[in-house]
Formats: sequence, structure tokens, C-alpha cells
Amino acid sequence: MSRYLYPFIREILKSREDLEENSDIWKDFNMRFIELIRERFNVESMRVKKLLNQSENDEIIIKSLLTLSLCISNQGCQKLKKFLLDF
Amino acid sequence: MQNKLSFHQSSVSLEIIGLPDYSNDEYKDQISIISQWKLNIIDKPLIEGKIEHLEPIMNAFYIYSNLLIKNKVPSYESKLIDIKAENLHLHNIVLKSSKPNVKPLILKIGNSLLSDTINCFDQLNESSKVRIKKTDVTYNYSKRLRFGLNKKVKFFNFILPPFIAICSLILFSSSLIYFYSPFENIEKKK
Repeated sequence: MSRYLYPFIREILKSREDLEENSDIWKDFNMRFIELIRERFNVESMRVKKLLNQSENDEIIIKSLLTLSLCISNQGCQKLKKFLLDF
Repeated sequence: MQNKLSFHQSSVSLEIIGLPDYSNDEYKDQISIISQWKLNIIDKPLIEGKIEHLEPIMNAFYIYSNLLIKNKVPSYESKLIDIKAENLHLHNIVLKSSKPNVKPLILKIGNSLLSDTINCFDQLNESSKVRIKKTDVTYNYSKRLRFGLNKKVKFFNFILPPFIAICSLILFSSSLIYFYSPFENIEKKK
């Protein structure tokens, strides 16, 4: 599925690289990410609180997006499994 | 006449130039004998080389991306290429020429260009028209290591609960000895 989402994932990663010029995409994505986490996760958990903290969640979001962007080939599913096992 | 094959991913394109190996019954449009390759990243200098440079560079990118995702120190150094992370979004690549008196080429790429480049290499690996000798050292290693760990974890999960249960049973039953006095019972019966 990440193959079809690759252009979007790439744009989000790119917008984070140059925040001064193109920060809108990153801000929108971060807002929506936090909204979804609030809807679906236990907000009282410390780990979830870390995800919600905008100053601390950069690394996990970027690594998750990068993992997805590297798994768009035909063997992407196997690659993703290996990445998740090592995570 | 040499064959040319191109692999594109957003801002990066990889071109492979070479010939088919007719002695191995290959088709006209296949490439087995690679004479040259070019990696073109938009707004960056052209990177080109011979077959002996392609595999180390591909391996360097794969190893580096693995290190980056696995939360380890993202740094890779070799004779041909060094890749280091400047920060979470920027990666420094130093390409060292095999020719003497040629200065190393320094590139700075972001996460988007890094993923484009690796996806181009993935396309090349999966292409049926290009045959290159592959040595998937990193993936095989991590897979074996991971499966070894999984087996150990499964074994411990299997053996640990009954072991704890038996130990607690012994401890509990041995503590009951203090409450049991056989002489009192014999006197009562009398």
C-alpha cells in the first residue's frame, strides 16, 4: 500500500527537511497524526503522551515514514517485516 | 551496440549500460555485462562508475538505511563511500574516486532523496533484465540473528511458567511443615 502513498509520504518528508520554506504539509500531517492518536489510543499511557508531544514526536514520525517509503518495491512486504522485527 | 536501462523514482534516476551474455543464452535486451552506470539526482552532480563500484555503493546505502531505522549510530565508512547523518533530516555522502588526485565528491541529501535512491536500487535488484551478483550480507545476517533470538525467547516462554509453578509449590508445601506436629496428633488419638 505504501507504493500508492509514496508521493504523499515523500512530500511530508521533504516538507520537514525545509521547514522554513514549506512547513504547511508537515504541520497538517502532524496535526492529523495527533488527532488520530487521541481518538484511538490510551492518552493516559506515558508512551502515547510522548507521541502526542510535538517537540518529542519528530523522530518516531520521521522514522515511521522513512520505513514505509523504503518498502514500496515488490519485496516491500518482506522488507517491512524485517524492519518491524528489528524495531 | 550497448543496451541502456533506466530506473526512475521521483527526483532520482539510475541508468545501467551494458551487454547481454550471449554465451548464457540471454535475450538481446538483457544486461549481464555492465560497462557503466550513472546515478542522477536532481540538483546534484552526476555520479557514475563501473560495475565494481556499483555493488559497494548499493550495499552502503542499504546498510546505512538499516542503521538509520534501527536506531543505531547512522554512519557507514568504506574505501569508496562514507555516509553520515548530519541530523535527523540530512545525510552527508562522501564519494571517493578510485583515480589518483581526484578530490572526493561531497553530497548532502535529505530523507526524500535517500528513499528515492534506495527505491531505484530496489528496482534494479528486482529487474529481470539486469543480472548482477548480489551479496545480501546485511539482510541475511539480521534475519538469522533475529530468528535465533526468537527461538531462545520461545524456549524460555515455554519452560519458565511450569518451572516457577513447581518452585512455588515446593516452597509453599515446605512452609506447611511448621504448622504440622505429629506428637500432638498421636496424644489426641490416645
